[in-house]
Amino acid sequence: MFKNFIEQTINGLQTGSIYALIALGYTMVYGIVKLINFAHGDILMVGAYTVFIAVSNSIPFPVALILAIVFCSVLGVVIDWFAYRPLRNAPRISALITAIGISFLLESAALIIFGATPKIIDSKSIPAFLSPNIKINLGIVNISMLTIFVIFITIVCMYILNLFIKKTKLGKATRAVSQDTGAAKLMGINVNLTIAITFAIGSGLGALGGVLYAIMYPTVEPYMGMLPGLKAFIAAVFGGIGSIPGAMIGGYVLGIIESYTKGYISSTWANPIVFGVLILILIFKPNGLFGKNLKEKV
Amino acid sequence: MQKTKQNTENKWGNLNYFNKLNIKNYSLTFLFLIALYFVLYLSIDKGNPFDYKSGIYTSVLISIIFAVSLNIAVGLMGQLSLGHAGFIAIGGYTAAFISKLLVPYNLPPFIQLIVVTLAGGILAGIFGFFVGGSTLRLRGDYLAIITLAFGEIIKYVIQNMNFLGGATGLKSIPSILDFSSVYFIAVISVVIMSMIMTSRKGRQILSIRENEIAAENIGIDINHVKLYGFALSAFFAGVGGSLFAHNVGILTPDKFGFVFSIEILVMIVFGGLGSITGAVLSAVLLTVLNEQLREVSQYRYLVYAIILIILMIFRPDGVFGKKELTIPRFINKYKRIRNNLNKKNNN
Amino acid sequence: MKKLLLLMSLLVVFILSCGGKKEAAENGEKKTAESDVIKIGVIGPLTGEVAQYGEATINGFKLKVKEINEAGGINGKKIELVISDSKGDSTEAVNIFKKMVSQDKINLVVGEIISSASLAIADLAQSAKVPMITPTGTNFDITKSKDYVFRTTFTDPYQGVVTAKYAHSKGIKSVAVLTNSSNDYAVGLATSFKEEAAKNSITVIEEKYTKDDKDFKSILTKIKGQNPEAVFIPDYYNTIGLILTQANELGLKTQYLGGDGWDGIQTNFGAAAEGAIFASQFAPDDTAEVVQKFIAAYKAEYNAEPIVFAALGYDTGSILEAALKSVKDLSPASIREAIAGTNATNLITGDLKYDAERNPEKKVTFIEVKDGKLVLKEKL
Repeated sequence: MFKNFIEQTINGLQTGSIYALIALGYTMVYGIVKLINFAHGDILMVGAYTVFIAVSNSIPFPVALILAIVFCSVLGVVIDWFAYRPLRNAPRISALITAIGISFLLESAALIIFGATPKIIDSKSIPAFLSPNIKINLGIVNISMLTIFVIFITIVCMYILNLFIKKTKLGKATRAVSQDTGAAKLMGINVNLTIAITFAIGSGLGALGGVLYAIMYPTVEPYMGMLPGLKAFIAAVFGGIGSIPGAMIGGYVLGIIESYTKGYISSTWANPIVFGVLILILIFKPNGLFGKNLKEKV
Repeated sequence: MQKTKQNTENKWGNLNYFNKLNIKNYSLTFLFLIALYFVLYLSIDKGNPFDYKSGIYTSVLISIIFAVSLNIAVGLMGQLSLGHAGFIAIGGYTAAFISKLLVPYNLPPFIQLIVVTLAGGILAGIFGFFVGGSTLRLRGDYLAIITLAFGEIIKYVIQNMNFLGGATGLKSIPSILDFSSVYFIAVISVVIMSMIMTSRKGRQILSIRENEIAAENIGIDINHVKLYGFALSAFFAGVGGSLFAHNVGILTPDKFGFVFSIEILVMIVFGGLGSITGAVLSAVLLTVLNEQLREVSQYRYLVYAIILIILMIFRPDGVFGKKELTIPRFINKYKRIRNNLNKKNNN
Repeated sequence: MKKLLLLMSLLVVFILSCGGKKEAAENGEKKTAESDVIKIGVIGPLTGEVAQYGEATINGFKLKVKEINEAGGINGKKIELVISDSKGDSTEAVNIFKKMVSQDKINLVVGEIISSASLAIADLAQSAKVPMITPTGTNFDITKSKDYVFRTTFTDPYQGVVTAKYAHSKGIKSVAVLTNSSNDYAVGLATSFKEEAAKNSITVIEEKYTKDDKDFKSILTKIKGQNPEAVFIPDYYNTIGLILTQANELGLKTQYLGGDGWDGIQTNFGAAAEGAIFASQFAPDDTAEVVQKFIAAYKAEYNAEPIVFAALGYDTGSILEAALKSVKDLSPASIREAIAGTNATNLITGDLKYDAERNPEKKVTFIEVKDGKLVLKEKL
């Protein structure tokens, strides 16, 4: 029984890591341009497809992974440039609808290019440190290399990102822009560049999440990003949107809730419970656990 | 001086379209709807239970109800709701469930349809009321997200309800509707919605879209109005859902996901957020397009997406914006064109 | 209120213009349609998650139709196919069916491929009195009390019962059943398996999931804790592949059992499915002459290995050929009569006769996945 509980917790941490990685992108972008980037979940899908194509053309996996991250970073910046920038000062509703439009655009483009039949990333191409079949004995339970790597890489990314935001000049610039765009501009910060960097980092992390997701669940299809994207968003809201440690904790909490629901209640109730959590948070504590208390300006 | 007076009069004149009880126009519209019904009815092959044309008319009429009802919440009240499919699901499932229970009693189909549709609408309306209640403290993005969460939850909860057919869906829903009953219900629904939106209540709803704070300052009870708007929107979504259920004969929960909500949103964004006639027109156009593009449906969403993005960047108000297509406007335009022509000829 | 006026006029113009075109097209068709061809509507998923099944079935059927037409058709009439892609979606299948009946004026329908969509159109076929035959829809309710609806495959109750008996004969005492509750096929098969297993005093634990699920580790961890001797997964191969991959990761090693939806697992998940046994109706290594001839013809035509679905599609063609050859006229009632009287012995998936509920009585073949290939295990 206890062993089972530990195993379920590890399952939760593994899915939670993916949610956390994607939630970071949501949180950073929202913090800086106050936009829910609906297309962020689909960046995950683009990343997974990129790796699939690269691996089918016999490019070694680590290279494919870097390729996917770079490609998605560029894609994130391009999307921002074309679709979101013209709407910086438009009503929120327009920006949100545009984001939904972009999300649909990516999904249907993938549908047209690859078809709806799921693509499988060949398990032979996955290197040993990512293999789901090589297990390490930790006394009580066996954990696969993949699980260890997923959890490890997420924590590392989080740490580096935190350092970046806290210590570097660019990181400080992003914080400044998210606090007061106008004032940041007056201080000589290049706002557009800062926003582009934010989109690049967020999308890159999303792509990393997508690739790991595609290895964990080895089918790649056009709508694969929708549900994890929504759940990652819930994680971001849970932790307080705009807060980086919040996104991380939110992701893990959500993953664990899901895993326990599936393990101890029923798999079919996992999704409604997750969405229920979102509704409760939004009703009772819209700013999340670590979010700043922002009054709507009149 | 003369000019300003002219301008003010024009301005107020425009507003007066709504509240001038213009008998001539009402009766014209009424006659027109009757005539339209006969034109459509005569084009249908009655001997064929699956007549293609009546199928298209029916789905167009149902889309019109969906679009206009969503437009109440999004276009007229300015609250972006992404959970419309959830309300449609509630209406559809309620109606279908009662309909199946009523099978042994052999009621006349039309009566049965009206009864179950009202039931579906009322239950959906109640849900809309509660969803609206939970969103009172939220604005903008968060409001959109909470409605989306409600929509998804409704879908997932239905999946777990075995008496509603569970995740595999509710099947063998009696097909008790024909083109005439759908036409009747759709026209009545749209007329009621237009009437409400041009009434005092309707203008309170509009005031929330324009400026909540100002609306509150002139003594409008915002919360009350929001709840009313959400319930109204959900009620008619439920009505449409009921028709949808009886039309297809099978309901699967996963049909009522986020994507379905977005499809309806595309319709009203295209037609113009806040224009009832715009919503009707674009519902007609997009539904017929969907039928025509069935063979290449993977491109459908691509086209939708591009339409959405381009509209939002270049014309956020949609094709009609907040304008309504009214007969007086039409006549004025015609007169203006005629006058211009006359001037030219005289010159 | 009055704004409706203009809108309506536009609407009329629009609809009339559409209607006018349609009318013209229909009239043109009616002249040619009546006498010299038999029109068969084919509905199946050619794109989407279950496309592999749809494609195989329809390819098998098309192969047989091509052979019939090359041999001079049926009583001198060529068969014309109207094929439409349902994406495996029930609503879409319903719309296509209505369109085929009202616009294309088909004589009978072959379809759907998956149970959910077949159930959706079976009601309509019955009420419109259009003979329908589903090559591969196994759910029992598809043909239940609908005298215009037939199938080529065996049914879920039959398949589930035989699989449970098979598990019992192998001395298995406890089985975990993983059911996809969004899927009629999976639900039907799991239900009959559970009933029969209970009769044979096998203990059953059931876990449910839905179509949206990709993460099965939590459920599998739970099952692992209960240590069953076998795991029965009645689903389609893509989901089965996901489940097996994650089960391997967790080190859950038991005997995996399944139904005919497993056919196709060898393409991408051969290694993960090693040693699994599933019920089917067709084995590529069957030495019977009809089977080998079919495999050769299929390979020549499509350059691919046929799966059980292709065989069922081909057999559907054979059933219809025999039935249509014996009818006097092409009225729905006489086609229905003829299909109901089928007594076929030349089929790839075993001899076929219909019982009172229009379900075939057939042998079940058990297939084992070995080294990424399907091998005939035994016939029951």
